[in-house]
Amino acid sequence: MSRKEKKAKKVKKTIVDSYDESSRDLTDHQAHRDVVYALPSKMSQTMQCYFVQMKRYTRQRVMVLSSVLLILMPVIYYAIKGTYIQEWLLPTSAVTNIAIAGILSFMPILIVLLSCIACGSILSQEFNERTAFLSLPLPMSRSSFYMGKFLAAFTLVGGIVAAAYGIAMLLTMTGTDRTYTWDLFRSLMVSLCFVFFCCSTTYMLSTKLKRGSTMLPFILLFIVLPLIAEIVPVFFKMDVISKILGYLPCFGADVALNMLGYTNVVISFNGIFSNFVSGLIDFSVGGNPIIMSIVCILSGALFLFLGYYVVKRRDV
Amino acid sequence: MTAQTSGCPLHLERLKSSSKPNFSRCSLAQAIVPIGNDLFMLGSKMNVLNLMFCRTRDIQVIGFTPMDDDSDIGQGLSLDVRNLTKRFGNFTAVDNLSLKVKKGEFMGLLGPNGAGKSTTLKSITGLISPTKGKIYINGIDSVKHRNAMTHVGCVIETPESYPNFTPTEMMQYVGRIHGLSNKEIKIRARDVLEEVRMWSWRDKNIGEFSKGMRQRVSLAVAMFPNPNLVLLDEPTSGLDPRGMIEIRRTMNSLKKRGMSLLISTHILKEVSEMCTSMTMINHGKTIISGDVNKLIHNLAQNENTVAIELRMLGDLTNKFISDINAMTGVSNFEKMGEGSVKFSFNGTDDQQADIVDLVYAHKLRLLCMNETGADIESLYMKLTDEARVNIK
Repeated sequence: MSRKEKKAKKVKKTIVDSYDESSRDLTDHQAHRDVVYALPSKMSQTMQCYFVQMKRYTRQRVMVLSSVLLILMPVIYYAIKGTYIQEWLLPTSAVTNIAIAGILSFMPILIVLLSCIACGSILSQEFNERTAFLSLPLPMSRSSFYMGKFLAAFTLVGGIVAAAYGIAMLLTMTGTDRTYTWDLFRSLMVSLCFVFFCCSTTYMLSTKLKRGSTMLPFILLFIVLPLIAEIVPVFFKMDVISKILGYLPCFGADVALNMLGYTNVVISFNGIFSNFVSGLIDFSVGGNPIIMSIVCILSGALFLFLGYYVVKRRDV
Repeated sequence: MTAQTSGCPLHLERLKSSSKPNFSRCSLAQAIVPIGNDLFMLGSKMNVLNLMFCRTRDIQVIGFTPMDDDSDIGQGLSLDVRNLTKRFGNFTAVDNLSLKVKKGEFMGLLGPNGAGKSTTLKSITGLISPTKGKIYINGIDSVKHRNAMTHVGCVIETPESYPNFTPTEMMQYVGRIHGLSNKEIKIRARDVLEEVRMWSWRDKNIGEFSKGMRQRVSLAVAMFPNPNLVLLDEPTSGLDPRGMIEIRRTMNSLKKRGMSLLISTHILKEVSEMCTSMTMINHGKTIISGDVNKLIHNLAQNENTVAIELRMLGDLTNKFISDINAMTGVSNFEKMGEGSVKFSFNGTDDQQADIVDLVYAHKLRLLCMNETGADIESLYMKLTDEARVNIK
């Protein structure tokens, strides 16, 4: 084939591909309607749902809010640096991990809040806004639809938490001893396990609630569960119960911060409450990060499965 | 898949674009007999466990049904609903309903509010799970295999696209779920969006669209996988007359492509204009099913009643009205407005001619005499009335 012919063929192909010469009375062949195709695998369909949900997030307020929160971290850090607020709120330490923990002391509330915003009405919205009527009749299983959306929410919140760790590391490049240990990575892993728990719990609730809710899971995860964990030992006065309750997954972020050597958690409800009643109640959050991670993952998986069970049986 | 004795029709889905599936690499090549489009039968003395060998590059086994009770599955039918029952607690929404839509057939699903039309369509599309019964789409059990929905397009209860997506992005989403390549998605997206007249709006957010436009996007999504069965649940509900006409025009274009259609609607005109057959249901049960024209013809034969409308110039005196009412075969007399009356007539041609004579006898000038025979509306009214009487 000559060079000229090759070029002509290429041009012809470009025209067909770009559909420039099309009109509405195309044949099936021209409109590619006769192309026999195979359905992609379940995993592939799940990933499609994942990407669609991620795309939706990029156009929703949750993403803007998350970005603002991330940008605010260094802004707040430099704004209060050297003031009495810093001494009260963020510990000034030359030890890098403790300094990072100080910067991340907002993390418990940040994770719960973002999980609730990202997952609180993600599924109920699909049914209320009737978009499920378009997605669910497609030739994919409900598990793909369910998992794709969950993975997107988990990625979003997990990504923000990882970015927060990254920013905290950058902020501690000056004024500390700059010794970044593996504890930092382990702390991040525990935080991600906590994110998984928060997201799956909120996601499960969004399958049960008709209109979805951001407030209800927030109150449950941030206030009710820690409150129960701290009040119950008062009545039973048993060390074992106190220790077991300390491993409730709602304390995951506190454990992650404790791993960095930061024990004075004042931002989470648990921290506030503990400070308040520390003289009365002998209560401490679980100390073993591995156990806490396992508890977070198992309880998260359980809630995820419960949510799937609800969605699978749901008549739309 | 459990072990099963021999003689089962198998639903095999082709994966490659070859015109004939290639079974040469399959050890059961001699035992597989084609019995329809995308439907093959496993020969005798074979065991379903051997299906593992059928998983060549060209075919994929997506289901099987024992031959004994379902031997005619997929034989020229796009949709085969068998004894469908759906209960919500104590309430039975659909009761033992059976429905067959042939390939290329346009069927209207009629019934009053709460008859079970939407529940039936939702069961077919898997939005709700049936309590009992089987649904075969192109011969594949849709309750067990989601793959059955591969060649089905549906618009159920005014679905909404994601408001912050553009029509093009919606097409990409649906295309990728169906496993189409980017190139095919691009070409098909333009094809279907032009068909529903939304191509010029392709890059605008769907949230900014009117209801009619959103409905057209939903229709484009339904048509995107080039379905051979389209299910529509009141596709024109809430649209202005122009929107209705445009949607109807699009639906008529489906005929050219040889698609089958099952449309649930309250607008009888849509059924009489588009559908070749109709099924009427009430309280979840089939009342009547068959060819639209035949059903209307039968009604006309059974009831020799026609509706007559007269438009006249001059004053309609009470004497004239009482004279017309007194004529043989006249019933349901109704004064429509200035010089216009409407009534039902059941009589001979001579008696009908007497009515015209009566008009002239009262020194009125006849402008128009419009006679309408049995139509889908009268059929609908008759059947729903009968259903009511039966319930009482």
